[in-house]
Amino acid sequence: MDAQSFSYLFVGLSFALYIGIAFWTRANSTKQFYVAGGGVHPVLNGMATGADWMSAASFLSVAGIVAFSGRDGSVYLIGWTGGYVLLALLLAPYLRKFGRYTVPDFIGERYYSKAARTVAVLCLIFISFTYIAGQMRGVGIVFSRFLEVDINTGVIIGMVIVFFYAVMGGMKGITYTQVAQYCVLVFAFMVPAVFLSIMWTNNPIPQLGLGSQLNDGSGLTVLQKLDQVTVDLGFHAYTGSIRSTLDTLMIIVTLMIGTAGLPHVIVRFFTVPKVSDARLSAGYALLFIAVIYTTIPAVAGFSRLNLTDSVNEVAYEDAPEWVGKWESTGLIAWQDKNADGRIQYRAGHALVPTKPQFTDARGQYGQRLLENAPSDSENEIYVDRDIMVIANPEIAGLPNWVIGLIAAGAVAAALSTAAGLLLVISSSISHDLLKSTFMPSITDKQELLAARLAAATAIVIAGWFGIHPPAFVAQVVAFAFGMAAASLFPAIVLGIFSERINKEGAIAGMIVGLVFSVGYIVYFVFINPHQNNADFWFWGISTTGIGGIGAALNMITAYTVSRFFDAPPTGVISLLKHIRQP
Amino acid sequence: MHESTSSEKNKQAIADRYWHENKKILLSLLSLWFIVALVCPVLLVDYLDQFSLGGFGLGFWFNQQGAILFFVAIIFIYHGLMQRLEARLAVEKAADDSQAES
Repeated sequence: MDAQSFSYLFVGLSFALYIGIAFWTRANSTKQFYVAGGGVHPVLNGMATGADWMSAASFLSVAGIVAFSGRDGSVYLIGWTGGYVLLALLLAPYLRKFGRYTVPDFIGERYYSKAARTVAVLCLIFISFTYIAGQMRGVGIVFSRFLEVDINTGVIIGMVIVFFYAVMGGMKGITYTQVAQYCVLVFAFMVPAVFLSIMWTNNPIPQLGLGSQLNDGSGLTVLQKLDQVTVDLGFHAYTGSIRSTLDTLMIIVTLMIGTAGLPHVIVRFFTVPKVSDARLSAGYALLFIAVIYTTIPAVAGFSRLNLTDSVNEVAYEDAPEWVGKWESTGLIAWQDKNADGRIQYRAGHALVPTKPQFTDARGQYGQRLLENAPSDSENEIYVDRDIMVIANPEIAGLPNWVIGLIAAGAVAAALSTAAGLLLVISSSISHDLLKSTFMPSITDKQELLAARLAAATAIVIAGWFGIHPPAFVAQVVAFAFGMAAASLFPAIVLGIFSERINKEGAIAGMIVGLVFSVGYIVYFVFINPHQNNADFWFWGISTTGIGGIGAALNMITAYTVSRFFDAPPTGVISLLKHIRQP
Repeated sequence: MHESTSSEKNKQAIADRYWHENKKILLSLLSLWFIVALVCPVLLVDYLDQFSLGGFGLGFWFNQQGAILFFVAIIFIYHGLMQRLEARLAVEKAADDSQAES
């Protein structure tokens, strides 16, 4: 069977599984729809959280980022996992004790204010839609690459599947589907990693393989070889860094508190039975995530070696088959600058502009010709970073079924995150805006219907974004984390640990944090993109790292403003006493 | 009457102790978190790289794998410590209740 048939088979089987689960776990009440009835086992919730949070980007792109930037890429590994410590220690147990359905629920009650709740809903909707646009696009891209259907058709197929289990099953359906999706994606990620590790080091455990000696008899370890290869080709050493220490710190801090403030992750801890289960479940979630996140550096290192080995100084005509295949999809491009017919892989961008723009013509070796001007660099090859995971099975010469497996894994990663985000959007509309703010008289049945309608509407909007992606999707990921870090996280943490913060302080804090971070990102990404480099940044902090400063400003503002207004009413103090007990 | 108010007071004291102990545990674990998340993999990475662990420079290992493994450990340690604390205070509370009844 060829790779494409395997992809159809595995993706089809996984879809059948998800729809089956959706039928089996239909939600009958708002409690089931919002928090799966509050009875999910901590281990299962850990798996669901892992799948919920690991997006198409985690599955496809992070290994590529690490492969191309070495140690500098680790900020994503540390930042995205370290947030779970904050979540488990500072948020999850108390929010579970609080025992309601949404994040704005907590902010609205703790700050005894509909205005605070509404600000929280707006932050949540903006964060979630920013994120989900990328996910739906991701589903489409995965379909187009593996199943060779049109991207838009892929988006629509994804919408239909998510519609089935998110609208019918709510949180209950999503949770059990995500458990299945975690199993699919961890298997899909680990199998090629183990193969790669054996191929280079004979060590079947990728985490250890990355530190082992190469099996080519050179006596070098994998990392020594990586450093040698990267320096030889003019890159910075793989295990070295070119980013400033302060910027590195701030990016890690922002990603950590941003992760802890992501509403679709927080809400997962509302679904377990007890407070202690919330702590335990966060531990399992991170354990399940760590299986993949400690494998990512190994996949990155091996695939960087593979790439260099199989293309550098190789004549285009003798290049492995996958080079031509991925060139035809636009993920690889080659421009023979020195007219020697061989591919030179060096540091620097190969093309100006950096993304390839193909003409219809073919060159003398059969390569696709480009409209791009050559750059000053000697580098002749453009490689999209996503290729590191997608093309791995072919680069490593793995059997066809592994390719099908990766297709199913990537679709699982994208769908599970999209579904989790859709749920928090729909619950914030039906529960926070309708039931708690504008239409308090609706019954449970009507609220459930409203939640389903909101989920359906959100899917359509998300799909529309997937088909007509805003040109800036890649840049706005910094937005989602910056906003979550600068708005929701400080408001929740201060709300739990301080008795003195009142509604005036909290609202002022959220607004200051948001305006500062969003303003900084908008200024550098949209208004003055040519100044978006370390020379102009405030203290050399990039847009990805600015949310940490926003969070600090939020906290300082909240404290200061709270001093000038009355302390919270006694009802809030007893609420605090209540959530602080197990 | 007198007994029930003193038992109320005791309950409150146990609740306060719980919150106080929780904050102490949080503070120490968050310090550990700070060290493995920011100090070892970023601030001291070059210094630690002179030591070697399973083929990795120690700083680089923290950077790409170690920090994550420590994070997992920190959460499970927190869970364990809190379970122990809750069990201990539950025993005290039960002892207190039986005293109030007798």
